[in-house]
Amino acid sequence: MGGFLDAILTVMQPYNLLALVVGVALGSLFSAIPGLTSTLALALLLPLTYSLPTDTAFVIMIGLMGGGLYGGMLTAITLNIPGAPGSVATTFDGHPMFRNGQGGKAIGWATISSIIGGVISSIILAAGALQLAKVALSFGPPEMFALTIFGMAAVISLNTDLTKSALAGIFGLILGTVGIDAFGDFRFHFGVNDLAGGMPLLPAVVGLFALVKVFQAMNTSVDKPTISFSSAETADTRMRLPGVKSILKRWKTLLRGSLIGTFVGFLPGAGGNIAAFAAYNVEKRASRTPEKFGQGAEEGVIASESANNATPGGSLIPTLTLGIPGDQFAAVMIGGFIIHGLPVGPLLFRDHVDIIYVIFVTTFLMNFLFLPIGWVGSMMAVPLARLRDTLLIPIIAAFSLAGLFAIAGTTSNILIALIFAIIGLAADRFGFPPAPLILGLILSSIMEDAMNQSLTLSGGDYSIFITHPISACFLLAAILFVLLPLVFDKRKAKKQQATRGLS
Amino acid sequence: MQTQSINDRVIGLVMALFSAIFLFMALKLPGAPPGFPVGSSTFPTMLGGLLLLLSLLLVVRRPVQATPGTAFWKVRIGLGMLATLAYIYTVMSVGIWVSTFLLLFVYALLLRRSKPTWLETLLLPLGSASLAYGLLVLLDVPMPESLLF
Repeated sequence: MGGFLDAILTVMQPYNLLALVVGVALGSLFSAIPGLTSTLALALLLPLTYSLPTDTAFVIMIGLMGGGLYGGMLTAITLNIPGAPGSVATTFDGHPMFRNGQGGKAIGWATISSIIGGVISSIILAAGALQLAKVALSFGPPEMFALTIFGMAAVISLNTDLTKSALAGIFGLILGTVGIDAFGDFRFHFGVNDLAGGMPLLPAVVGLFALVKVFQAMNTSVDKPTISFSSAETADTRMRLPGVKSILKRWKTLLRGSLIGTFVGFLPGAGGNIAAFAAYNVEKRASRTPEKFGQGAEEGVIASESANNATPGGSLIPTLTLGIPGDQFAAVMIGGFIIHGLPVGPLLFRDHVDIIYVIFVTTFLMNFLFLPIGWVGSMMAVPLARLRDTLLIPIIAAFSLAGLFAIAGTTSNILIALIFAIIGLAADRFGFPPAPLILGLILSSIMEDAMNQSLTLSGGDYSIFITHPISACFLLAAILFVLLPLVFDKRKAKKQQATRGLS
Repeated sequence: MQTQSINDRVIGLVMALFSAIFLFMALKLPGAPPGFPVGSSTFPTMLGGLLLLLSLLLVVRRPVQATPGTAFWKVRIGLGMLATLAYIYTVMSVGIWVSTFLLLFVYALLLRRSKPTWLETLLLPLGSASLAYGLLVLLDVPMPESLLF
């Protein structure tokens, strides 16, 4: 318990509280604006957190994660455009509520559901992560190697085109081999001093996720269509919180959504959108009035948002204990651990348990900031929607550049980021996802060291990865993760062919 | 869909070429030291081989319909990158605040939109550059000694 008390005192320091407000507010803002994501916000802020104390940096990152799931409901409700993927299911009933003149009420329910979902999942996180970490700490090199393979497979399976996704992942692993290795040999640095220590992670993140947006806007960004609202519809967007009685009346819906969200978040590769869909469907089935769903039923918003905001607690369990990110945001956040000199995976719990407790406490506390931020946001929802994204490009560019300076005070990082922006443009053009590339870059040296240590233990016998049961399980899971979507796709294609044949 | 499959094949060939060169370089790395089953070249060689296999798969497989992404190469994007290169090589001597503002101004001119306003092309880059500069000062990042700010 002492760890928790210390962490509460740490997070409660004015400096860290300010960081939490900044994180949650920025995350909400980026997720509310369609086209911008909290991953972009993280890529912009990560280099700037480099010069901050480690606890403050993680308070900001976790805040971004929470806000990034919360803010999407604003535009989902008012515009029927989900600002973030996790809020797709919120549009089903949130927008009809807005059309019925109950926009403020919908935002109020979304806020309360988000808070309850987040709080419940943060408690499960604290309990689950500490238990799983105990198991994970007994892992040896073969288990760690299998784990990194599993992590790669989970992120690769996020994309529908598995070949391209896997190519991106292996390309990332290859980039990760640049620089000095465990044997003291320099590899693939072509005499460039900046690369001798390894491919720098931060410029890669900034280039792939932030700078690339600037160049894309030079080609495709067109003015958003002007959206007109009738005065009756815009009249009621100020957040109206439901009363305590009505919250208690909906306790079943809230609890179901929160538990589904936490569980789906825990599964690698499944994020807020799947959680919200699952909870929405369960709620519709459980309801005595399923016909009201889609017409502006409160339960629809409650199920979707409580599940969506419960995912961080679930997804942080494998991210923290095993070093396996559940989604793109978590993949970039693992970069944050490396930047602050922290180990990825179980060793974090042995050597830096103080930061773990700070993350637990922040995951719990951040939810309560949704109240003031949602209140301000609910009044800005309509102007936000009218904001042209070209207005944001200079700000994104300025923060990318400032961040790149903040890392080392030299321009070499800007050049590397520019190269990664070109890679990002090509990747986007030809349908390669960027997340596996970044995770490959992060996991490369961990994977190589674990493989080399295992093979040294076994005297070069590769069967060590299968004879160790936990390692074998992870490898099997990795294969299933990659193969299952293939099987499902084949079935779908067959079905489609069959229906086409009929018509 | 047709162009997509041609694109995939070309990209597959480019990546296959890259992996072949990488594989060649990886094989030339020092192998296992005496008494060890693995060395510097083991892991990169595996990765190079895997990348080569997958790129060839991309060349030969049936085309998959994909959503088209943003264009990769356009004059505007090229100009934007040239401006960034110029920035990289002059920022240290000119000064961060002034050159960042100039670069953002060029970016703003290159953005695609219907009716650019003064606010968007001049004031916003000025404000963003000042904000970024202020943040660097606030974070105590060491700045180069330059002509201007």
